[in-house]
Amino acid sequence: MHPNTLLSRFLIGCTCLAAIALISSCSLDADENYDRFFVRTDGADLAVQIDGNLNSNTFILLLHGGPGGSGHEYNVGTAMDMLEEDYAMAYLDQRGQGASQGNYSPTDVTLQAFSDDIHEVVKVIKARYGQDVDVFLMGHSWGGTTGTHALLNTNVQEELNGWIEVGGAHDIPLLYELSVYMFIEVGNQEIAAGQNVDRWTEIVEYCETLDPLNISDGESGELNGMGHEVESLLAYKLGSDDGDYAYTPYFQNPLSNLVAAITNGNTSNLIYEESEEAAMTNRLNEITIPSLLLYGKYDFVCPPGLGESALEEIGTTEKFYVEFEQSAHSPMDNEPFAFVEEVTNFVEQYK
Amino acid sequence: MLNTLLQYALLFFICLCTLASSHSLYAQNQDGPKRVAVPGVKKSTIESAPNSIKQSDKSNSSELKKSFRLGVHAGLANAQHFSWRSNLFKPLRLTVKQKGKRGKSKTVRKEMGVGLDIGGFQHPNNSTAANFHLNLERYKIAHSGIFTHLGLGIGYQRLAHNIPTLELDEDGTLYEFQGGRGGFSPLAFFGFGVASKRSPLRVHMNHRFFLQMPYNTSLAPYYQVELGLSFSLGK
Repeated sequence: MHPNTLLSRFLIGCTCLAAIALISSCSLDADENYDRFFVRTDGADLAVQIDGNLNSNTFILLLHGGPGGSGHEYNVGTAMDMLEEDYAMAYLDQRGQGASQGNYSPTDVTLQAFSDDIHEVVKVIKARYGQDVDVFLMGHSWGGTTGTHALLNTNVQEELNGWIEVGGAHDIPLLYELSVYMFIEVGNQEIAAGQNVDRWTEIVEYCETLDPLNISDGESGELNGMGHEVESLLAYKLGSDDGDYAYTPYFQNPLSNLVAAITNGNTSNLIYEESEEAAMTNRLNEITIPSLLLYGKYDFVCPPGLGESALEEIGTTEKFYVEFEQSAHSPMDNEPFAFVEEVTNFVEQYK
Repeated sequence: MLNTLLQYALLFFICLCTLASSHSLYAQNQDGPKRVAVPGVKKSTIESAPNSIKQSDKSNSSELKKSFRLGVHAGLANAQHFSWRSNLFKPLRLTVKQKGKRGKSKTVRKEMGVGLDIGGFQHPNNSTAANFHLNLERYKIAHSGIFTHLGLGIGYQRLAHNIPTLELDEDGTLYEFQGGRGGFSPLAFFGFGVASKRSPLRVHMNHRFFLQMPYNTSLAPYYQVELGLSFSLGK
């Protein structure tokens, strides 16, 4: 046989083998500690990963921050590992973010669409695991915006056992107003204490030029950036997660980083304006399910004053507010044990 | 569904390769002996640079025109996902430039042609992708055998979820199926490699940029880096 023929047959063989490998390669199988699926609704395929104790029949559906985040980035850390021991944590990638896919118009990227998605995912969890399972909704940061919006604009409350808002942004204009006052107050305290005086002086002077009741787009971006920045200035007052927890193996990551970066950015741009105008404090009395509000004392991104005002407004007596003394925007990272204790107590009480 | 489509596509592709190789298209490397010229050559040019040696060599063109190149490539898409691709390239135009100085002759070859890619990648816990592209490709092969390769293409990519897709109907009944979505996929690529002087084998390293659109409200970008081999089909 001519060597060329041999080689060409070899290459064709390689082609076949590669195709077989591609076709037969598989993902992790669902088991009692893991499940992953897409929920198809209104043109979107929403990625949902469930990790933890599925036998508990208690689900905590986590809404990530952003806009432009993913549920996957929350699926790490001591707090989530501990919660997964007792409950099934459902990490949702909201529409147009993370691993979620679809084909829909930019006009379909609205808070109402996010709310409808959340309601649909809750219904799918119940349809898949049983109508008698307990479902709690937990929203962090911008997840507090979509979560609160869903509670107020869908019938999802009927399906839920409780609402947990973690550093949630249910009222963006109020958020910026409180943020400006907090920068000035804490900044002056830090200057008096001789901590990072130069930077705090700049921050305080900048905030004193702002009109807290009329924050522009540029100013809101600046405030948000400073809110994250000062966490490093205040690191000496904050707790940290020093636990030994596992990351998802790199090649098993359900997110394609490049794709997520583009799609997250697009979605963030599309929902930005509506999110910035979201002010739901005056409707919080329509929330009638048990509610737990968890905020960090040094959260400049979503100041704890938001939680305090929500505590007054929410329309149930079964509502609780906890301020973590050594936490900023993510108490689950700053004080994981205290965070888990509060969440567990709440879930055990209302499941 | 995707697996079936992929299998059919693969079968079609293998048939195409077999058909191509069964036409006794004799492949030669650029420095090998010249054989039979095949009718149907559209154009062949032998160009000369200043101070170069002019040399008429029609067999070079026929050699390329009659040969298909089959390539197999493996790599990573978006630096995360195992990818695989097979490529069939049909040269349509050859330019050979022979330069000579002080008694030494060097040949630079340029090949223009069309290529068909069939490939895909596996994104665990998300989707399996299958795609095909029809490309306009260009090789420039230096006398040393080092070549550059670039091209543009258009095609289609389909992502099929490799985890279940769940959907509720209006009655609250839950359906589970294999979801997925496809879309238009423009492509641009460049690469380089080495063409063996003793056999019609080429080693490639390619960088490919392609899109799937629509994806959510806009598009999904992919960057693929891969290594591969290609070989002229023939007896």
